[in-house]
Order: sequence, then C-alpha cells, then structure tokens
Amino acid sequence: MKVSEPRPRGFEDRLEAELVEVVTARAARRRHLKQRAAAAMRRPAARAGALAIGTAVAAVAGLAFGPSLSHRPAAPLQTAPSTGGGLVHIQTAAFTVDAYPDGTVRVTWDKRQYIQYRQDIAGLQQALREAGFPVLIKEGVFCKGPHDNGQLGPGGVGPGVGQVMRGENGPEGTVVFTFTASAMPAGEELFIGYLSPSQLAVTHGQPGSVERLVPTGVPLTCTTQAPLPQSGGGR
Amino acid sequence: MSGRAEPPVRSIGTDPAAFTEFYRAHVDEVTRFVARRVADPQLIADLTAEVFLAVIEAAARYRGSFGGPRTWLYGIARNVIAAEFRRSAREQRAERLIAGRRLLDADDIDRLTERIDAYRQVRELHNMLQALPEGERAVLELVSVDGLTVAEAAAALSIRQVTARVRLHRARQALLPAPVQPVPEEEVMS
Repeated sequence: MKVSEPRPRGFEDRLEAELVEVVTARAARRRHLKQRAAAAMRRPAARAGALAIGTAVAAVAGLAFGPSLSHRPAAPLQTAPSTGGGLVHIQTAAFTVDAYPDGTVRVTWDKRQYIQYRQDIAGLQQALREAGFPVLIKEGVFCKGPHDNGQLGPGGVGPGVGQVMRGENGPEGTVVFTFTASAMPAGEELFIGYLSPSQLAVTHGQPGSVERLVPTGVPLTCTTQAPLPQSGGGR
Repeated sequence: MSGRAEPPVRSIGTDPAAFTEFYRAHVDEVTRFVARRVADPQLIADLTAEVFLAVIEAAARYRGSFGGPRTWLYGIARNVIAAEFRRSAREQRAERLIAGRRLLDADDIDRLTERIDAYRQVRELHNMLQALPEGERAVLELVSVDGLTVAEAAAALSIRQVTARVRLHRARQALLPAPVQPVPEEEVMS
C-alpha cells in the first residue's frame, strides 16, 4: 500500500491552526453565553436578579466619569457576586470584570488600585473584549474618528457614550462601571483614553479619562494633548 | 484574491470552517502586504498573525463595503501596520496574543526573505511616502504600493472616491521633482 508523505507544514499552516483555535474558543464562549442566557430566562429567581441589576444601573444614568469624576453620594450599590453571577468573571489586582446574561458587563475598580496599577490598561481592554464589549483603551493618548470634531460634553464624555457605559461611585473608594454591548452602534466601539500621570494634574490627581464612540476599521486621529475638561458641546 | 464566492464575513470570527476558508483565500495576500512594508521575517510573521486576529475581532461588525471583503481586509491590515509603527516595543510585547515568529522554521524564514527581497523596490517607494501627510499617503500607498484601484482604496479607507482622487492627485504632485527654474534671459544671451 502506498503511504502518502505528509504535506510539509509551513508557517501559514501552523498559524492557521492557532487561529482556528482562537475562533473555536470564541464559538464555544458564544454558545456558553447563549445557553446561560437561555437558562437564566427560564429561572424566575435569576430573571429577578438580572432585573435588579438593571434597575440599579438605570438609577445612575448620567454620572460624570471623565476628568470631573463625580464624588457625590450614590444610591446603595448592588454589588455583583464575585463568582457565579457573571458569565465571564475576571479579577486582577486593579479591577474585576463580570459579564451578565442581560448582555451587560460590570467593571469594579478601586481608585487606589487604579492609581497603583493603571499601567494594566492592556489587561482591562482584553478583559472587556473577552466579556464581549468592543473597546479600545489608551493611556495618555486621545483618539477620535475622522468625522468627530473632538468636542466633549461635561465630564469628558462624547455623544452616545451614556448609552453604552454608566458609572457609579461605590463603597470604600470603589467605582462600578456598567457597559452595555447591545447598545453599541454598529461599526463603532468605545474609546477610553486615561490621563497619563503628568496629565492627571488637570484633575488634581483624581483618576480621569475621556470616552468617545469611534468607528472601527478606519484610521483614528490620535493626539497626546489631553482635551480640556468641561469643554462642552457635542460631536 | 479568489474569484470564488466567499463565506459570510460576519461569521468568520465564530465559525472555524468559515474562518479557514477566508484565511486560505487571503493569507498569501496579507503576507505580501506586510512584506511590502517590513523587511524582517519575524515581524512579518507577527503582523500577519495580528491582521487575522484583528479580522476575527472585527468580523461581527462587518457591514459590507465597496470591493467586498478584500478592501475591508486591506483597511484592517493597514490599521495593524500603522499601530505597529505607533506602539512602543513594550506595548507590542504585552499586546501580542499570538507571536507569529514562534511558528517560523528555517524554511519559512528563507521563503519570507525571498519575498522581502522581491519587494525591496516597493518598500523603498513605501518609505519615500512617509513624508506625505497621512491622508494623502494612505491613498497613494494602497494604489501605488498595493495595486488597488482608487475606488478600492477609498473603500478600504472609508472615504469617498472623489476625496481619494483628490488626495492621490495631491500626493503625486508632492512627489514630483521640483520644477527646473528657467534660466534668466540675460544668462542665455551671454
């Protein structure tokens, strides 16, 4: 019997195998999310839990998040369970990320940890993307789309950001942000530009950032010049 | 690029079969695209991997464009290369999910080096364009370095065709040699 020689595998074939693993993992995660969401909808208790979270989020709409991060007292925070409640749970020294059956992703920060670990923005970006939220995060660099005039509303937030991201001051110096991937306009993602240590002088040392919705798949215009807080106006 | 019907682009981020078909149809073109800009086989491997990782991430947001998946892919590849030149080495190491260079063997490096040599002149042209303003350079790069039509370049950059034509004209004008100053008449007479 003739035995055929195995075809020599080049770099492209080996890369294909690794990339297919990535796609397979994404497919499995997607199936898992759908199954968990379907199971949650079938369980009355779980559905009630999801609604409670949604109510808490709705109550904090409009919280300023950018360079003028609000410190006003907030409504009692319904904290997410550290495990079990989220479909995706990622915890690092700097933040905790939980994805929920209703499509929201909650990120909990400790402000002191933020100051100490802000260099982990790459980890936060990866965690949010793994949780299904399209985001681009930079430090000390501020990007906008080709048709964005660069103006920001109060709090350093661009138009439409409030629909996909809301923030809440929590207990003991924590901040909880809720990201809603389903509200993201097609072809866009959230850009977050954290102020660098030198730029933090603008906020007197308080954590600060700028958020905009930016188009995907097109070159963005980026600058290291921090936008002035409270510049007002819309895009 | 293949003339066959392509799999639905939006499914390639979560459907291994669709991804495999898309990858096999485009991997050579992506590798050539990178080799026209980079002269290091290991970096070519890294960036080829990054382009397809970006494709996997962006596929669900694909809404179609003039020129279809090809121009969309060129737009992504261009963004990946541009990001490579902007990022620091530390960021690059931290952000790479798949280090393509890890997958290279000696034969691959020889093959990529041949490709690098073949594109030396094109790469020199690409380097010459770096002095142009970003918008003009982007159009001229895709048309002159990668061989896209103006319409395809416009689609890859998400700009209008008329805008692309204007930028291409300006870029070409900027690269023309400075006109020779006319010799004063008295010098001709003397």
